[in-house]
Amino acid sequence: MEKTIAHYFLENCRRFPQQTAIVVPKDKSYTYEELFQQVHLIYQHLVAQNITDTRIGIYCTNDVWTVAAILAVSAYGAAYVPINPKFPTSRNAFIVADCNLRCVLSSEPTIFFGENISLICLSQLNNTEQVAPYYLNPQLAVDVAYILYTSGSTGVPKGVPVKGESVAMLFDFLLQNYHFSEKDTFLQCFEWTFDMSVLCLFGAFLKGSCCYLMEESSIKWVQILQYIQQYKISVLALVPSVIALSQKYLPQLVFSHVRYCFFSGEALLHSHTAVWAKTVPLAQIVNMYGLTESAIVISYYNFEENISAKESVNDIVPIGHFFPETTILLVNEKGDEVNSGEIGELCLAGKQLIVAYINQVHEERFFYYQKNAQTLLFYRSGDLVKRNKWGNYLYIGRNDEQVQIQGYRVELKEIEEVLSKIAHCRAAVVAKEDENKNAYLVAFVEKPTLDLTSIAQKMQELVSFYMLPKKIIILNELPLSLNGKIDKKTLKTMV
Amino acid sequence: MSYNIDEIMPKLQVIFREVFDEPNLIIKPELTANDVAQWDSLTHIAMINSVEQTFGIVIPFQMLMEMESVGDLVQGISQLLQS
Repeated sequence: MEKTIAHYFLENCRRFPQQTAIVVPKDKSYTYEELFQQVHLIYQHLVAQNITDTRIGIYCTNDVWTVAAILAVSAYGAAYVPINPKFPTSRNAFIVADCNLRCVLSSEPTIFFGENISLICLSQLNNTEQVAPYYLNPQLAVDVAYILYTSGSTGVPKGVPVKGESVAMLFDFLLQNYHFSEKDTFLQCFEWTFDMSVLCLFGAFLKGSCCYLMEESSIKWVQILQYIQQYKISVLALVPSVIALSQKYLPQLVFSHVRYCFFSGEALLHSHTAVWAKTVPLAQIVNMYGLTESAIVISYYNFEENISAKESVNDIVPIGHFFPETTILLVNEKGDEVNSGEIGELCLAGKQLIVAYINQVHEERFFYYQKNAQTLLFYRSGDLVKRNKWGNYLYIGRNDEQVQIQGYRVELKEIEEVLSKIAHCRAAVVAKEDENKNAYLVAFVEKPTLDLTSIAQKMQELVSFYMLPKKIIILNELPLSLNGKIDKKTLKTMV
Repeated sequence: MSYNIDEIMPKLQVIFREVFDEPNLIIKPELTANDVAQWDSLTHIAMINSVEQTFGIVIPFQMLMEMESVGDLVQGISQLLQS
């Protein structure tokens, strides 16, 4: 049988059964042995119920059951599909239907996804003690490890099936280049529906480290810094927004216990990182580029202040080199490969990339191209990059209307579609930046049929929290450019 | 300029209404970020900046970490004004 991504955890159950595996909010900790017992309980239940579904939903909260369920589903050989309680019911219902889920694991007994969905309430499973030999035989041979949903420009979210093999390639790279140990403490500060959570949780299990789960908070950056300080976190994965938001306070803080700090999800600014580097004086800071479609991250740039100062363009730290197994193609608007040093759209091929979205057969982002005498399937990222004279890649910007809001990928068109339907009018959404370069959204609606409060309320019911505009402005007429399109440049000046 | 606690709340109310874009918001000591829709990572900074300007204080990070409610904020402001 193939190994699953849970095998790193199972291996370390054998090596370090008494080592702390996770600490959940309110300081409750679980050793590898104790966590294995919970994993085994869920796994045994799946076996007893003879679950043959290749995709299993998990209603995710920051408790031990969520971690155990992720591990159990992975060990069982199925793909886990995280469902976020903070997402609107309609979005979760879409995910359940799109993945054709028939089984959802949850520690909360009261949730309901439909009569055809079997809910397994984890906190009500009967305890059966089982420890050594810490082995769980995969019952299914599904190559997909998890399915996450990203924003879609057509107004419909897209399901991204990521293979276990792709995640294993990333973990192999991390293990070869960074030296984690059982003494390390990781922080998992992401939503379970965000792929950086996979890096934080499974990253901790690679070498028998401990992973801290964070309590829910509306002001996340403050809590992240608090956790780093209080729990002496040594391995961090963050979105750059965290250090952008906390710039003012960083000179007051020194975290000498941080050994590694990985950034991904947004452009990392050199000026912000230089300040952060003083806060984590002993840490290796790594800027990584990745997409949900590329199994979390696929490039690395080890930050050194003096070198980065020379290489950064528009204050943006390079995304560095791509992992060795990845083939890179930079193309112009016509789809032709650009010359070395020119800006082009980044297209990626290799085993870390997905080959299709869920239920979407014809997707323009995938195309075949001959490169290095091989015909490869490339994924068109929409990101504009160029290679500098030192061989590092630089992120320049987007070639479409996708934006990053605190690490979340957001298609403005998806929000505009929803807004238009709600208010029965034309709508436009723009992304603005505050003085610390933090992006936020502002929406404009043209003579809506609803009042602003009703629009805002309906938006909350239909789109994820990070897609909600900070402000909605009513206009009698949306400004148009010369070619008749909505003039977003003018709209930005109106905020 | 010095303020007592009774003077702090009305000034905070003005700041909160403006920053969180809720003209009718009534603040109470037990109010937290969970109770105000617009109180998030971004607006938190704007609110703290506005508080610092209004009261002529600088809130250190260690104090900021412990401020979970309006009541904590009032206490912190009061403490900084007296120091």
